[in-house]
Amino acid sequence: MTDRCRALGWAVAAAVVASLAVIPAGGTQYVRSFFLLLFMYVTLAQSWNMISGYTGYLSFGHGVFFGIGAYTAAHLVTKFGWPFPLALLAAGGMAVLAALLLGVVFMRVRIRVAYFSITALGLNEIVKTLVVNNEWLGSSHGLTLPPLPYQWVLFYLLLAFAAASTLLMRWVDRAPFGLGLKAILQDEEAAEVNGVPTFRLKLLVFLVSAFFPGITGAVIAWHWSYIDPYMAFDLVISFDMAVMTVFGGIGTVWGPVLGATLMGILTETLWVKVPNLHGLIFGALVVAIVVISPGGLMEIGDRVRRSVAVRRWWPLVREGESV
Amino acid sequence: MSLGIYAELLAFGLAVGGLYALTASGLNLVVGVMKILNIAHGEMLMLGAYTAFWAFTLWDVHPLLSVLLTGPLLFLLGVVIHQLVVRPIIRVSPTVERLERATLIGFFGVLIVLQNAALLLWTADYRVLNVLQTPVPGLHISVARLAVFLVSLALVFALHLLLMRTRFGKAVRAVSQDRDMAALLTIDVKTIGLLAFGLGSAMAGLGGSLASMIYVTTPTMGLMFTLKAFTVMVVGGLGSVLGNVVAGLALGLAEEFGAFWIGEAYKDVIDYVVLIAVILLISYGYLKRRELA
Repeated sequence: MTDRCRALGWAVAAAVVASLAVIPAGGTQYVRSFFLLLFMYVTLAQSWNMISGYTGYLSFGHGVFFGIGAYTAAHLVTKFGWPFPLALLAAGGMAVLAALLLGVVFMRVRIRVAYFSITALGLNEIVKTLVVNNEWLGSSHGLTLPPLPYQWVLFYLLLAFAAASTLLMRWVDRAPFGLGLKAILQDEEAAEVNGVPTFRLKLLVFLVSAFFPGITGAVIAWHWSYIDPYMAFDLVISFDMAVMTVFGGIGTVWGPVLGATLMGILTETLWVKVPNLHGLIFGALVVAIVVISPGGLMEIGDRVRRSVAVRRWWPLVREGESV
Repeated sequence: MSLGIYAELLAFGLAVGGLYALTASGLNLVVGVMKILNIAHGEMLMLGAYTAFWAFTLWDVHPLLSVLLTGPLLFLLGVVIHQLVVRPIIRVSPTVERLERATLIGFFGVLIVLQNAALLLWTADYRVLNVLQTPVPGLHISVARLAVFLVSLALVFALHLLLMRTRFGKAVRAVSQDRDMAALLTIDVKTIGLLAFGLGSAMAGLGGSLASMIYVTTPTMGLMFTLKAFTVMVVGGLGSVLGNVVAGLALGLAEEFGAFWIGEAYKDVIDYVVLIAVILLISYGYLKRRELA
């Protein structure tokens, strides 16, 4: 039964990706850009979940890696004439480098989650300040990118990032690597004592969680075709990725996908009517989730599934699972 | 001539340092009693600053007098947030680690709510209060800055007296030191927690009143105040009101002198570097501090 369920799951996932992939052929400009942003949200939420959901180190300023990626790509293209693919890779590389710098000093020893979180919260604003005041980086004027001959590439790139980050986390979730991360989440000291290489695991997952926002930032910079520090390092990006993950289900594979999809739709529909209203709703939802069900929608769904299964609707409970 | 510049930097640094000490004292109180870090503390300061701004603009209430308004208002908001957010989280969190993460995420939500509420209500426009901008004769500082410095220190001192000289203060200190033992001694730890949280929020509100006089008021001004208050709290030591004053003034001076040598725009960066340095010193064991929880 589990094999059949799994095969069905993969078939559904493949069908969803395939149907998303034909959107550029049929949809209008609005539909295309709507889905492009949705893929961005999924990738960003998934990245935030990697470090914050799996290790418990809440990276509240994670959007900084998005901004670094966007700026690296835009800079290399406008000032040095790099081709798009190379600039994209360099954007990911710069984000990873920044994370490495931070990770080496901050994860070498066991640091309090509160210390890490509040430092992360400030990081985005500090890097923004540095960029705004740097003449060479274009200060607050920003950079205009040359138009790409084929915009549809950006759509497929973001679809690929969303799928890749989710697949990666689905693999990590069951691999020894993921088990190590979960051990850190539950009790870092006990994990360390039991031979989990906590520093290496934390650093590695932090680097990966910085890479995806980096390349996403580069692609979005092209999508916008113009960036300035206030767009690239907008605090809302940092807020959204955390909010979406918490809403969907922190520390799960599909929670960020679910949260990013639902909240992405909410954002795009509400933004047209009342700007900033969605932020208010998001914040309130986060508070509600933490108070009512810290595991987010995934946990709520799980509870519903179990309570239904108790009424002997058997296929809903996996073998060996306690109800 | 150059001596004049240094005198000016000294005065500026002390003025903002006093404000930092005031902001940190509220954060410190909450961390001490409840063992939770309110990362929306700066947003409460922002609300205080807006209250002061509108009180002056609409009803001509002087910002220094508006402390009578912002204090109670933010106290009430603190009580509401405590009942709606903090208490339920404490109830559902089984371990200390879970509680720490849950409160961080919860306050993160509060931060987003308050910031967006301010954006919706008052837009992102910069609000500036032009009061007491005349220089104090003989001192290279405006009356506003001198007033902010003196009132901040007076308020911190008042908090110090409240904690050291009253029965309530004694109970607060007891709960900070050992919650379970305090409960055994028939101290109502829940009520003390509630009052301490309200008082901490009120301190942020008072800081907001003063901040509106020397800072530009915007919906996003809070974040940097949270970071600075946190830095001051960590440097000055948990539960130490006077330690906070020294650390606040030191940070204010470091900021002004650093900005003078490196560049005006890098004030926040200087603070941030100090914050990281202190966290690393503590984490690597070179600096002993009382634990957060």
